[in-house]
Amino acid sequence: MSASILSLEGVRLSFGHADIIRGASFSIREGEIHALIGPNGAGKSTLFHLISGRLAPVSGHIRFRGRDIAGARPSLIARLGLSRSFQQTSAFPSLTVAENLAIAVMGATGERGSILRTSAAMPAVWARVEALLGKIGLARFADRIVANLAYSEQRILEIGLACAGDPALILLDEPTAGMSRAETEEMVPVLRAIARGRTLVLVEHDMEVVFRIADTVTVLVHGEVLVSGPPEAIRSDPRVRQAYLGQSPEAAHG
Amino acid sequence: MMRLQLPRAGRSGYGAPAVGAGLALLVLLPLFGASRYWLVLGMQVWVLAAYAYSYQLLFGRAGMLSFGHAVYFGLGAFAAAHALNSRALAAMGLPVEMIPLIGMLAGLGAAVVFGFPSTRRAGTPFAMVTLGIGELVAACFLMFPGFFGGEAGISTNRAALGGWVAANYGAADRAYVLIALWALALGAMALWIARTPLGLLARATRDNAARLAFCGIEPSAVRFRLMLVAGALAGAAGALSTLLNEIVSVESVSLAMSANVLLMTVVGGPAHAFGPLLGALTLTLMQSVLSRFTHAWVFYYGLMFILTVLFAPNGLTGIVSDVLRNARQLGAGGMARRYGAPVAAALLAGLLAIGTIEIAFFRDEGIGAARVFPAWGAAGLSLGCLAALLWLRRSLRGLA
Ligand SMILES: Nc1ncnc2c1ncn2[C@@H]1O[C@H](COP(=O)(O)OP(=O)(O)O)[C@@H](O)[C@H]1O
Ligand SMILES: [Mg+2]
Repeated sequence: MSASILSLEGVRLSFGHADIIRGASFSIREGEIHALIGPNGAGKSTLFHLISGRLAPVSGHIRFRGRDIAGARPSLIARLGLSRSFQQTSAFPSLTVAENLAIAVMGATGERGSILRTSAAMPAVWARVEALLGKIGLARFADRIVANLAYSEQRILEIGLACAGDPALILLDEPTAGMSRAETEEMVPVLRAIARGRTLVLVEHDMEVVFRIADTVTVLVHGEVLVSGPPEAIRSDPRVRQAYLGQSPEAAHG
Repeated sequence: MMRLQLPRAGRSGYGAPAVGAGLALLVLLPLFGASRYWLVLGMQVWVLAAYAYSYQLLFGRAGMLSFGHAVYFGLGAFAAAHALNSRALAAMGLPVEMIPLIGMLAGLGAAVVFGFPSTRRAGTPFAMVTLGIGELVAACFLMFPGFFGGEAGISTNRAALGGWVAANYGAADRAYVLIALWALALGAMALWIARTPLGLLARATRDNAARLAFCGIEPSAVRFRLMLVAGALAGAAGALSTLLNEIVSVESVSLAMSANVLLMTVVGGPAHAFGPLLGALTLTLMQSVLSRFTHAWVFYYGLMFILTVLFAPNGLTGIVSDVLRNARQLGAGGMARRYGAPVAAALLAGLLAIGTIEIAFFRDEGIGAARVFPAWGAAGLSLGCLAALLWLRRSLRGLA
C-alpha cells in the first residue's frame, strides 16, 4: 500500500445556514486514480473548491503531502503541485491556446513576469507547450483564440491547463461533461495517460468510465462520505444503490 | 517540428519603416520652422501621450480601471520641479536630460506605497481604492504646502540645469526635441512591457484572474508589478510636463487629470500601439484648437468619449484599422457602398447635435460658435432635422 498524498479529516463547509460539506473524511493514495461520485448537488465540486483553495473550510484538515493546506491561497496550493480543472470551462478566452498553456507552464516553472525579455524568449516554456500541444492533440489550434474554439476542444484545453505544470496531483471536475458517448470513450485513454506518474482525482458521472479506470471510488451523498473503497465493493454496496434512489449507480445518470 | 506563432502585442498593421519615418518627422518638427505655438502644442501631445502609454499598460492590457493615475503623474511632476530647483543637484552637475529619471523614481516610489493596497483586488474594488488614493493625495496638497507649494504651486525653470547635449533647453525648439525623444522612449518601454512575460500575465489577469491563481501565479502580484511599471512611466511623463510648463500645481494630481488619461486611452484605442498617441493628439487639439472656436469643447469631448465606448470599443485607431482593412478588400465602389450611408448619416447627426448645442449655448450665454457663425448653427440644425427624419424613415422601414 503506498502512502497517502492527500487526506481530508472532518472537513466542514456551510453557505449561510446550509451545511454543504458535513465532516468529509477520506484519503487518496499516491499514484492512484480516485473517482469521486455522488448524485447532483452532493458537494463534489465544492469539495474540489475546498481542496484547491477557492473556498476555506469552516473546520477540519486537508493535508497534501503532509502539509495542512486548508484555507491556503490557490496560488500557493498550485505551486505545491496540486492542480485542478473546472466543471465549467475556465481558460483565458482572449489568449491563444499556446498562450494559455504557456501561462500554466510559467506558473509551475516559477516565471513571475520578467520584463527584461519578450515572452517569445522563454525557450523552456515554449518547448514544454509544444510537447503538451502534441500530447493533448491541439497542435493544429495552437494559435487559435480560445473563445473561438469548439466546445469539445475547450474541454480538452481545460484538461491540458490542469496538467501543464506537471503537478503531483490533479483534480478533474467532470472532464467529460457535455461530451457524447463516443467522445467520452475517447477520453478514457487520455485520462489514463494523464494519470501516469501522478495521482488523479476524478469527478465523473459516467459510471461505465468510473468502474473501468478507478482504483478507488469514494461516494459522496449530501456532503458526507457514504463509502470509500475499490470499485467492485462500491458496485455491490447496498447503501450506494440506496443513495441512487434504489437504482444501480450505472442507471442513475442514464 | 511545428513552429509556434509566438505572442506579439499590438500588431500595428503599418509598415515599420513608414512608422519610423513618420515618428522621426514628428520629433524633428522644429526643423520645419514650426512656430512656438505649434511647438508647445506638440510638446503637450508628447507629454500626454507618454502619460497615456503608462495607463494603457494598466487599462488596455490588464483591464485595471484606475481612477487615480494622476497620483503618479503629479508626484513625478513635483519631484522634477524640486529637482530642477535644487541647488545640491545643480552643484552635482545633474544634467537636465536626466530629470525624467527623477520623475520615474518618484512614480515608482509612489507605486510601491500606493500600489500595495490598490492592487490587492481587481475590478470595482481596485477602481474604488485608486479613486480614494487620488483624493488622499490631492488632500495632501493643502496639508503639505511646503512640498506642493500651496495654491500657487511650484514654479521652476527648465534652463536652471545645464544639459549634456545642448547647453540648456530654455528655447522651445530644443525643449521640444528633448520632450519628444523622452516621450518616445517611454512609449516604447510601455509597448515593450506588453510583449514581455509580464505583459502576457497582464492579459491573463484581465481574462481570468481566478484561473491564473490556480496556475500557481498570484494575480495581485502581477497587478502590483504592472502598477510599479505604470507608476514609474507616469512619473517620468509628469517630469516631462514640468519641463514643458515650468510650473506644477494641484491640477497635476487632480481627479480631472486622472480622468483625462482614461479618456485619452479609450478614445485613442486601449489595445493599439498608436492608441495613446492618437488619444493625446485628439485631446490636445480639442483642448487647444477647438476651444478657440467654442466653449463647448469639453461637451464635445465627453460626447466623443461616450460614442467611442458605445460604438467603437477599439477607439479611433480601431476605426482607422477597420477602414484600412476594408479599403484593401472592398475597393472604391465597395467602400462607397459600405461607408457612404453611415458616414453621411453620422455627419448629419453630428451637425444636428452641434447646431442644437451651439444655438442653446448662444441663447443662454451669448457665447459659443453660433455667436460668430449664427448661420452655421441654423444650417446645422435644419440639416440635422432632415437627417433625423431620413433616419426615422429608414428605421421604420426596417421595422415593417
Ligand atoms: N456559492 C454557493 N452558495 C450556496 N450554495 C451553493 C453554492 N455553491 C454550491 N452550492 C450548493 O452546494 C451543493 C453542492 O454543490 P456542488 O458541489 O456543485 O455539487 P456537485 O458538484 O456534487 O453536483 C448544492 O446543493 C449547491 O446548490
Ligand atoms: Mg459539480
